Amino acid sequence: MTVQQTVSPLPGQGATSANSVNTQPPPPQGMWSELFSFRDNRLGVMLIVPSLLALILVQFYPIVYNFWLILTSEKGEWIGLANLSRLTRDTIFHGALIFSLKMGIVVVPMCLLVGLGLALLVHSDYAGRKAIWISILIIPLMVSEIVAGMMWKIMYHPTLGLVNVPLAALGLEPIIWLVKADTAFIALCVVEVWRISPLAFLLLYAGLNQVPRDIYEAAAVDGATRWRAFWDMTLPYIRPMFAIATILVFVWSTRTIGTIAATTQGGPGRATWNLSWYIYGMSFQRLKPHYASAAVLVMLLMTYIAGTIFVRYLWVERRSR
Amino acid sequence: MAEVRIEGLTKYFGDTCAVNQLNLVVRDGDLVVLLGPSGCGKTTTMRCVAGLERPTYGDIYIGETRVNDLEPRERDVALVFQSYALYPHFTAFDNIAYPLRLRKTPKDEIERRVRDVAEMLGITHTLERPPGLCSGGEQQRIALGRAIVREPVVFLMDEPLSNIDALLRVYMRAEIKRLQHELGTTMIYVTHDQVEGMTMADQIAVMNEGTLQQLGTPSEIYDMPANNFVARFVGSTPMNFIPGALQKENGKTVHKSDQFVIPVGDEMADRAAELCPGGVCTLGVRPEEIRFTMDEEGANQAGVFLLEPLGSETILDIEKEGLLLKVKDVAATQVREGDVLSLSFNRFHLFDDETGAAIR
Amino acid sequence: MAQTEARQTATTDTVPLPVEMAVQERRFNLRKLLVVVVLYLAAFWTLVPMYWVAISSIKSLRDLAHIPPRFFPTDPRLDAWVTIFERRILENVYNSLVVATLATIICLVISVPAAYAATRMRLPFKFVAIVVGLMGLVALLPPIASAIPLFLLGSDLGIIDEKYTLIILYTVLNTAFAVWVLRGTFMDVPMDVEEAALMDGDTRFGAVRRILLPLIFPSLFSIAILLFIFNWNEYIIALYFVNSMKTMTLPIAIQAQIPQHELDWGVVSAAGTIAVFPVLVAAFTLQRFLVRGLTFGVASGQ
Ligand SMILES: Nc1ncnc2c1ncn2[C@@H]1O[C@H](COP(=O)(O)OP(=O)(O)OP(=O)(O)O)[C@@H](O)[C@H]1O
Ligand SMILES: [Mg+2]
Repeated sequence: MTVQQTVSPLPGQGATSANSVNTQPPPPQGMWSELFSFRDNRLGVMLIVPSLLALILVQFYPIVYNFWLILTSEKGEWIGLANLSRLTRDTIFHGALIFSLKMGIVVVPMCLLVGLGLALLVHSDYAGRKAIWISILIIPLMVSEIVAGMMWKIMYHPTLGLVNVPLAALGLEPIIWLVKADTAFIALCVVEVWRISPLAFLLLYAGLNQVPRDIYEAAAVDGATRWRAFWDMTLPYIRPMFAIATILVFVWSTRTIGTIAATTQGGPGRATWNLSWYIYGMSFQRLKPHYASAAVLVMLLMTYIAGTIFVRYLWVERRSR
Repeated sequence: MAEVRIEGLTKYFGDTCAVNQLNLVVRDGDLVVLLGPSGCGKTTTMRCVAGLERPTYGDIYIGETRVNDLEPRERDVALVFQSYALYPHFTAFDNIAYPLRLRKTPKDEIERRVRDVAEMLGITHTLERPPGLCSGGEQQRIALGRAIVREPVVFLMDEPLSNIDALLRVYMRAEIKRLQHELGTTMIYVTHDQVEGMTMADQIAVMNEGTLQQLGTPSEIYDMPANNFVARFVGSTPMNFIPGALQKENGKTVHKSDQFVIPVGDEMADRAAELCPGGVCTLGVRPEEIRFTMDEEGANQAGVFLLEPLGSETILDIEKEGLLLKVKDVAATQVREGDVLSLSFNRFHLFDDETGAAIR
Repeated sequence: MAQTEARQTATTDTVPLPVEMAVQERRFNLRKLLVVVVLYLAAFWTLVPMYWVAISSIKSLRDLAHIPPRFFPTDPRLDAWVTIFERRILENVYNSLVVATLATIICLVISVPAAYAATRMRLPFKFVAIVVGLMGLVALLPPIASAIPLFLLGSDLGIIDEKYTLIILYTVLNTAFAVWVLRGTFMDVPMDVEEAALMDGDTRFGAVRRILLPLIFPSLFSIAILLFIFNWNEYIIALYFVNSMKTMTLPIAIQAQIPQHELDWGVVSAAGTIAVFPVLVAAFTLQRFLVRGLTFGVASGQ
């Protein structure tokens, strides 16, 4: 047996922790050198490269190309910021932007409200077979935009549609929903709520499931009413999920195009042009892709802002957990 | 069968240093117990040896081979995970058999060996179940079984008995020790249970905040702690510490504190003069090394304020001017609360206040 | 999370909160009735457009012209269905199937290794953070934002109106999303189980095949279904890249059927029914997977 084999490579090291701090070698520097200096790191990078390439081809290349498009005319001549300044004076664009925002303002709260309500109902102990309720309620999420629009176009049809039936039963004149600007807006909002509120429902339901059950029991033991328990326990718990739902619902509602394509085609006049429809119309129908790209930039900015918040929430949240 | 040599092992996770310049030699066939507070880097060290973490700096040798660049598979090391890490979709039998299957062991031999191991661990009744349906202790024994069913070059066990009841644990630790002895396989063993560590270890390595504090036999660690951390950490009733300074009184060196004056032997005084010229040092003494008499006259008097009877012995809690001492009364004397005792200090250690190192 | 979700779905049916049981006994009927009634209303609201389309496709011309519209057809006809098949809808179904299936498979082949590397390979934390953060951000980008540059690029290369172009585009457009979602799935399986396999002497690939894959298979399957549905429904890119019957996918075909003549609604209804049908079948037969996949899909990483 070796006797007293105290190993202290550096003076003062076998001693208290306070002293040993000074003798630490420095932490490794430089992500890139670390990334490529090990065999399995190189393998890891190789596994990631194909999806990075996809990312570059389909997302970054277009974004960069977009800038070039914006800065040039339809004939490819350099025109600086002319496209953008034209956009600021374009009343059709203004209309489309305002329509998108207006729709967001109506649709987002509605979807959240409907989603939260349904999530609470399905989550409650009174809902029987939860799995069945869930799979019914999320069906609109799996229906193509264009099909959803087409369905509702039939629903709104003055003679074929179901929507006017209750009105007729009340003795009211049938409304021709899609031909007047304000009724068309309402009609489109309803379609969007039908289509997107299941997203909010699903997210918030998932959020509710993360609330540990025992805190309700604890709250009940502490004498909280159901209502108090909802405010004090449930809401704080699902707050992050609520934020995520808000952002995603907003993003989904701004990128709507199929619904409009199937129902109003932007009409009456240009009353129901939204941002996506504007971009599509400008680039594909009027063949002005360079000019349309300026509008894409606006859309990207909107998504970027929402997206930053989204990633913050998901990514930072996870790390802190 | 091989020696494990860890040289200058340093491991960073981002900016946290989990292991700091660890040097450790585990001789062939030895069982080394890693002891240390939670988060001191024990698991990280094991994972580096196993090949699951890549050292930031330093080398690891198993036998004569430098294994830094070898895959875990190529190191032929068995690891019992602190978290068990059982395969949830296999039965307990398949869990234990998995390493053998990978080595293309014949079917009947697998059957025999798995049953033997299960027998030894007392988990035969769980063999057909998935681990999700086993109790915590049973899961841990399955994890243990998966490691010992094969004959690796080195065993690494990360708290393999933490979740097993006290009675079974006493039996199991003897079994593990016996197995290790019979196979002659080198083993590194992590535990929080000091008794387990003391009884099983050939050598104990005490770690703190990623640094090795001392490596030695159990008795060396207990009797000759290298610094105040080891002294405080090892021992079921912790060592008493009396801060103070060395002084000359009547030509003799004494350790003088606010409460006590304790004479220091000549030999130790010489060493102290050399190692700790300032003389500011803390005296550490184990509870069983304090002698007492019920004599009201003697030096170093202090009052008892609490008795902690433990059955075979009693711990006396003694207080003097804000300093608390724990004294082990093995002889079952008739001390009562409130009695004033006169203390003498049999064997003690001095620790330099600046470095914490033992003066010896 | 998906696992807890599934489990809770299973258990909460039968095990009410102890605290709530007292309440339940007293006001059982009223509360339960209210909840169930509202849920039925919600289900009605969700399903009625689909029902309406389905019956519109089999209504006779007389029924279609009837005012007020009839909730049940009196004289079901298959005329619209005959017409839609005559207009070669099956070719569109075939196109959609081929494009969606291949794009889903290729997308998984690309993104599963990336997600594996991001969660399992101990790459530098910062690197993974950047890659995964980018993927999350990019997954949110509206497809129409890339449509114009990609269309111009496609025109230059002369690959507009080809099925393989659609397959490539659908693959890459979903990759960021798939990596982001798969990463969340992989993180749900503790890494130490695979490490145990490595210790037991398995190779990295063996550990993936024998340990990781069986454990994540349900989630992987649900993500595959989700991707398939995305591709099946995709509209905007197809709008730019489909010019002829050779590539026309179902959503574009449906748009083309939206009638010029007032009473042609039966035909488009039939087309819509065809498009929704597989989705409905999926929803009910693959319930468990789908809910999990969608939840993952939209709230990945949880
Ligand atoms: N993968 C990791 N990423 C970041 N930090 C880590 C990681 N693994 C360990 N650490 C940190 O390294 C330090 C040492 O951890 P380790 O698991 O080795 O401790 P331990 O001695 O095994 O503790 P315990 O007795 O509680 O098991 C801790 O501070 C821990 O937080
Ligand atoms: Mg540990």
